[in-house]
Amino acid sequence: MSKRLTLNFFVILIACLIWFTPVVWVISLSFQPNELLQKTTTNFLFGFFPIPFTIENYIKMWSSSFDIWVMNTLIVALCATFFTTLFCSMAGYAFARIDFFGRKFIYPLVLAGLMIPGELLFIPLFTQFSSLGLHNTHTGLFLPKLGVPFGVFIMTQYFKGVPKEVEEASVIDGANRLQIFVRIMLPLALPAIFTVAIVNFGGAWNDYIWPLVSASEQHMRTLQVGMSLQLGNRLSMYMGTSLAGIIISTIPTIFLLVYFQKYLLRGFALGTK
Amino acid sequence: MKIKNDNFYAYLLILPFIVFFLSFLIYPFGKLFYMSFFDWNLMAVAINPDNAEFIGFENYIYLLAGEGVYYDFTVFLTPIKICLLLLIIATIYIFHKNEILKHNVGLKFFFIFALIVYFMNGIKPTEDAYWEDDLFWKTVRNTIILAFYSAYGVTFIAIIIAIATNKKGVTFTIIRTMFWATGGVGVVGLSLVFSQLFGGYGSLFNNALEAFGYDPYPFTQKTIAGRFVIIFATVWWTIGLPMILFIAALQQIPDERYEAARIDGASNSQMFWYITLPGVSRIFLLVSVLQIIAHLQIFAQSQLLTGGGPNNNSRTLVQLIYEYSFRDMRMGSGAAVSVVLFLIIGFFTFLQFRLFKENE
Repeated sequence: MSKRLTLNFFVILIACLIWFTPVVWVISLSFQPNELLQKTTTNFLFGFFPIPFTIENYIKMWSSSFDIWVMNTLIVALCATFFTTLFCSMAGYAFARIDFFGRKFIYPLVLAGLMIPGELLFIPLFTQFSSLGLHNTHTGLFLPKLGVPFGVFIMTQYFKGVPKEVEEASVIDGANRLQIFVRIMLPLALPAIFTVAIVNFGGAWNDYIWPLVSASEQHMRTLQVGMSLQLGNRLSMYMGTSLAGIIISTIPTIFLLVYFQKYLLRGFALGTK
Repeated sequence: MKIKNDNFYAYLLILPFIVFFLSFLIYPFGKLFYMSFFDWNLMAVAINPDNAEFIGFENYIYLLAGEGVYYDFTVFLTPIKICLLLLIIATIYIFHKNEILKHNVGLKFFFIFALIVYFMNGIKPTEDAYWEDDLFWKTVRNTIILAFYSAYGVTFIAIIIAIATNKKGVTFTIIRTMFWATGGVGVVGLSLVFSQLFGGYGSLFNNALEAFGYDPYPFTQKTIAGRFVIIFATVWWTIGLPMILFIAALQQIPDERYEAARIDGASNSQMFWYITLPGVSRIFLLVSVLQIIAHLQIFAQSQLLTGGGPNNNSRTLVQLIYEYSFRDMRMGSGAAVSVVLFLIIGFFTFLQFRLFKENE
C-alpha cells in the first residue's frame, strides 16, 4: 500500500511540475523589470526567482488603457450576470412549477437550444446588432449572453427538487405566484443562483470572439480583446508589464472558481444528471 | 391543497428569457443558414441592405468543390506510423479479448475515432489538384485533428490525475484545487502565456533547451510542434472540470467491490480495468464527447499562438469563419463555413445521445 502511495505521489509531483512550472515562471517574470527581460529571461535561477525585484510592472500597467478595459469588462460581465441570473431563475421557476398552457412545447424547445453553440453565431449577430446600432456599446456586448439557455436548465432542475409543501403553505396566506417566487422560492434557490451567476460572470469575463467582433473602437475594448490586440504585439518589448496585465486579468475568475468550487460542482452535477 | 395554475404569471415569468432566447439564439441561428445562401459583403450590406445577392448554393460549392484527391498508402510506411497502427490494433485486440470494451461505449468510440484520424493522413491532393477554396478542407482536417488530440488528451490525463488525487489529505486537496484553478484563465491570457513558454527567443522551453546545450527550436513555427503547443495549452486549460467529474464518479464506486476483488486476489491493474474503468465509463463518454464538441471550436489558441500555423497547418474552422467574414468581408462564405461546422458539431451531439442510449 505504501509503495502505491509513493508511486501516486510521484505521478502527482511530475504532473504538478509540468502544470505549475509555467505559472511560477510567468509570475516571477512579471516582477522583473522590462529592460532586463529584453536582454535575458534567465537572470537568476533560470528566471524562476524575481531578482531584481520590482512591482513597477503592476503599477505601470494601469497607466496604459488597461483601466478602460477592466472597466468595460466589469460592466459587461456584471450586467450579463445580473440579467441572466434574474431571467433564468424566473423562467426556471415557471418551467419547473407552473403547469401553464404550452409548457410541454416551450421547455423542450429551450432544451434544444442548449445544443446550439452560441459562440459560433457571431456572424448573424453582427449583422443583427449593426441594424440595431448597438455595436461599440456595453449593451451590445452583453445582450447576446441573455439568450443562452444553460441557466434556465440549471434553475429548472434545481426548482424541481424543492419540495412542493414549501410552496403550498404560503398559498393559504393568499400569495400569488409572483409573491411565492420572490419571497419563498428565490431565497431557497440561492445555491443554484450562485452557480448560474458564477458561470455567467466567468463566461462574460473571458468571452473573446463576440467582443472582438463587436467592439471595434479603442475605448470599448474588453480585457480579452485589448490583451489580444495590444499586449500580443508588445509582448517582446514590454514583457514584464504585459505579463503583469495578463495575471491581473485572470485573478477574478480564478478566485471565483476556487472560492465557489462547491456551488459550481453542485450545479454541474445537476447539469449532467 | 392544490395551487392554482395561473397562466398569466407563468407567461410573465418566462417572457423576458423567451424574448432574448428567440431574438439572440434562435433567430441568429436561422439567419445563419439564410445568410449562407447570399453573396453578403460586410461593407456593401452595411451601406444598403439590398446589396445582399441571392446566389443559392454557390457559397457551399465554392467551399467544397475541387478535384484531385488520391489515397496515398506510402505515408503509412514509415516505422513510426507502422508501430502506431500495430499498437492501436494490438490494444483493441487485447481489450476485446479481455472484455474491457464490451460495456464501455466511450472507449469503443475512442478507438474508432483514433483509426479515422490515423487513416485521414493518407488523403493527399494530386499534383494537378484544383480547389475553388484551397483552405477549407485543410482547415477541416486541422480542426478534427486538434479536437481529437485535445479532447482525448484532456480525458485520459484527467482520469490519471483523478485516480492519483482521489485521496483524503490537505496535499491532495491543494493539488486538486491547483488543477481546477487553471480553468479560470482567460483564453487570451492562456495563449499569450504559452507563447512565452514555447515562442522564439527567451521562452521557457528554449531556455531549457539552451541550458542542455541544444539550439533553440521555434515550436510555434513548425507543423507538428505548433499543433502540439495548441493541444498542450488546451489540455492545460480545460483539465479541471473533467478531473473533478471523474473524481465524483470514482467516489460513487462502492468500496466493497475493491474489497471483494482484493480477497479474490485481483491485482491492481485488474482492479483498474474491471472495476475503476467500468465505474467511470459514463463520465468518460460524457467528458470525451463534450470535449470534442468544445474543441471543435478552438479559435484563440491557434490565432494567437501559431497564427494559423506554418503553411496553414494549424488554422481552425472558427478562425476561417472569422477571417472570411471580417477580414475578407465575405459574410456569406463565413456563414457557409459556420453551417458546416454546425453540422459537424451536430453530428457529435447526435452521436452523444445515441451512445448514451447504448451505454445505459
